[in-house]
Amino acid sequence: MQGNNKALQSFLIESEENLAQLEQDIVALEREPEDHERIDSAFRAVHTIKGTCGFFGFCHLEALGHAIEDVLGAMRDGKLHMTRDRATILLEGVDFCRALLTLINNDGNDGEHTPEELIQRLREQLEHAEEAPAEAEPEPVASATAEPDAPAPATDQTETGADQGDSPPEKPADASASEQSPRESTVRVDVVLLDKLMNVVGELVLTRNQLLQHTTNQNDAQLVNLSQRLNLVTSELQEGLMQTRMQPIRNAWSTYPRLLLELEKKTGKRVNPILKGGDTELDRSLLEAIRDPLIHLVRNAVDHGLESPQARQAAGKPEAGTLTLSAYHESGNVIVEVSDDGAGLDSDKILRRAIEAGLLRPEQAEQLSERQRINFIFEPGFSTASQVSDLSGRGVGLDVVRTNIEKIGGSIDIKSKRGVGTTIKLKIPLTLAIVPALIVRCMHQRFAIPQVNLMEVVYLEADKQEAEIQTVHDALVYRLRGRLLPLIDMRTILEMGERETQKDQFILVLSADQQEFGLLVDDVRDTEEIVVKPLGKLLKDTPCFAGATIMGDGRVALILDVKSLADYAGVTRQERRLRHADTLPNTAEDNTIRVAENYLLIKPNSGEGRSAIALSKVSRLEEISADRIEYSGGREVVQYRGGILPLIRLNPATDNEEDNEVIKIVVQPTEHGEVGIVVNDILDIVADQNTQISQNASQDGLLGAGIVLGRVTDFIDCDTLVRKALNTNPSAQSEDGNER
Amino acid sequence: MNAKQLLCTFTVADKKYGVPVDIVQEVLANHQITDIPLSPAGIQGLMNIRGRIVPAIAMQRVLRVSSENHDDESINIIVNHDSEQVGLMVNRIGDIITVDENEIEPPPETLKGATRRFIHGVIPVQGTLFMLLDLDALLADELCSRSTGNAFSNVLQ
Repeated sequence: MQGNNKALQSFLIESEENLAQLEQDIVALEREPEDHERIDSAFRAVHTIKGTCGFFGFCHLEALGHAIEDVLGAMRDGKLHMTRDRATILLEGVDFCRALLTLINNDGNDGEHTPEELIQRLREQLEHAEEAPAEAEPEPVASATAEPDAPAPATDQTETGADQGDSPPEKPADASASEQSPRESTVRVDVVLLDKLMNVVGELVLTRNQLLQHTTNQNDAQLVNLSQRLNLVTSELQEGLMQTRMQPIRNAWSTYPRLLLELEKKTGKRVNPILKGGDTELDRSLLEAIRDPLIHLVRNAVDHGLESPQARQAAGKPEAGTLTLSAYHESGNVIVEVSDDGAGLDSDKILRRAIEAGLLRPEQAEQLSERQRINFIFEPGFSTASQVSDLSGRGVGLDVVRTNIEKIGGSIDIKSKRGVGTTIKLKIPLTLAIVPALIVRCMHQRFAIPQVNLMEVVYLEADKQEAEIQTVHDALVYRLRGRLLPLIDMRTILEMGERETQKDQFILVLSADQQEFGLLVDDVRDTEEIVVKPLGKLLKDTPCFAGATIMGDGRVALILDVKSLADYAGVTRQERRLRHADTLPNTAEDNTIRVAENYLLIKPNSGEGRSAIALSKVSRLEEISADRIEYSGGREVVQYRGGILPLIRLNPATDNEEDNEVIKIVVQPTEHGEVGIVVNDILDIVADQNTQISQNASQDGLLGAGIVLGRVTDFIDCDTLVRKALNTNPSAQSEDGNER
Repeated sequence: MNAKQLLCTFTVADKKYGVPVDIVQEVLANHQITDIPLSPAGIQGLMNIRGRIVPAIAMQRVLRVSSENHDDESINIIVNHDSEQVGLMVNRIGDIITVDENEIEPPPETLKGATRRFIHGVIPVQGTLFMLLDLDALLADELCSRSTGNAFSNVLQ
């Protein structure tokens, strides 16, 4: 009995696969009716199902399979041509077979009724075959059951097994297994077993690491030799096992032709799919994880991305839209791209909807770049309610797609050009189980940081720390090649201790969710391949950690979850504006005056006014005590880093703040060396894309005034200000005329 | 017919407790423990038990008791709970005792405080009371699993 069950299970699995094959073939044939290999393949698939049915006595499924087989047989013999209608009927048949299989799986039998109506319609197709020029075969039914020229020998085997009926139950299953890939010799392995093996190999890798560490301290040549060999063998084993879990991404794509066919039918659009890089392999668990998100993206692309044939023609594009799916490897990741040549995204529309949905305030909208605007479609709550159709908008928003991709350590990016098309790019790690990571030290503990998130490491000397790390609004920032990087101190954020200022430190530049931030750590060790282990139920809600691993010395080290760390520290929300502007290339290096800039918002004096200084003109922010101010040539200066730093007051007439103990200085580089602008307070950093600066300010040294974050703000023209201040006597400054 | 039950007993802050022996996987002494920043207070850290990552529960802290003898919680009883392993850090390990199910009495009314929540019942054995731990309740405690607590947020704000 047990054996029979096993055979039945095999049958169900086999049949599912055969149906999938059949489905693919039918869809492919619909596009290319003369592909004989496809016809053969489809025929084989249905033939196997039908044959094995006979053995189990599922007569309804057998009858249906028979009818499908007849139609395909007629096609193979050239008596019938594949048309869209025929493909539809055949696919209906495939669906019905699936339904029957589900029934068999649940109840153990294939129900009460034969789908007479469907079979009848299939038979009707055969009548057309008779009209075909070739002589109609008198009995297509007979030819199907006892196929004399079956394409693959495996088919024959199956059939004999099935027809004899009394053969051992394993036989049909085995036969059809070999039929599945007649060219290769493969075995079917339970996934659970593979996962278990993977775990064991993970253990082995760890033990190997420990052993290697131990042997380096030993003076035993043979031991060292042996451990080296163990090292190699383990690596090979690990690699091999990883490969067994790898599956080509084609598996996830197999259902697309059918999906697209249906989409075409429903939308009336024409789609020309191009699949590239289907052989790209990735871990099966990841493949499962991206299956649904990908389908969603494909649906979206056809439903919203591509235009109707009329609109396409009007736009001078070919009637059929192109949907390109491509997969490839890129620096340890698998990239999957879904791109269409449709209308592209309308960023204004997106913006309007984002505002309607309350995701941003209208006044913020103006500051956003095109890219930022488009990315709003990934925000939770960004509902596409007004364009819900049968196809997309089924409650799974793009935010869910993003969440799912990020859950597996991937990322999602979108590019769109109006009128040209949209490309969505998924970046997916190769495997989840073993990842390369950088080991860092914070206090007495080691942490692993996934290499994927690591952009660079910056060494920070203790005596330069004070100068290079600044504080804006209690937040640490580090100036990295001209841009400000939000910093997180690992000790503080993990509540392990106070910030270390006496010793050399390292800044890890990390990226998560397309945003960069720095992490201050005590020391950087080595990069290692680590085995990711879950933290377990008790600790699943602990923030900042993705899991744990076991180091070479057998101790446990926690794996940092960079994304979750960023969220926990608040850099994601808080610095979002800052971040996007930061990632624009060369913002700071670009010294021409442009309106899209990052600005440092300051209070020029004790009054209510606000000013903005272009960040590219700022090299450091300093606080010094007021009594350090000295005078040179009638000008205020301070000793600064072994040099003399001239100070400029923004508003000499009203500035009477000698009583302030601490003055704040914005240090600026000029052609004459650095100067310091004395400000009352430093408020914030804003990324401003397109604030209108009106030239109505009367005072020189100002570019003009504009509205930033809902308040009128003076934009300081640093070049003029500095030139003027350095060339003139401070006492005459207020009367000085325009120099520009 | 009375079912016999085997209990693994141990001492936390001079009190004796017991857990069913079938859930105990092993007992370890002085095992290396790694701290987990930001973790619930009752979790001492993580241990490597032959390649598995196992959290260690600081029993004194979770039971809200303190030892007069200042014993270290150096003994780790690894138990299987809910298909995961958890280490209970206790002061001393005791004997394995056999009890009848009907010997188990409900916790006395006089037993108050946090401890009561974690006790299934008590078993008097030769003048000593053994408290039978309710692991489900223990591990669901706020000190063991992170809930909404920890108001720390947003250092950059």
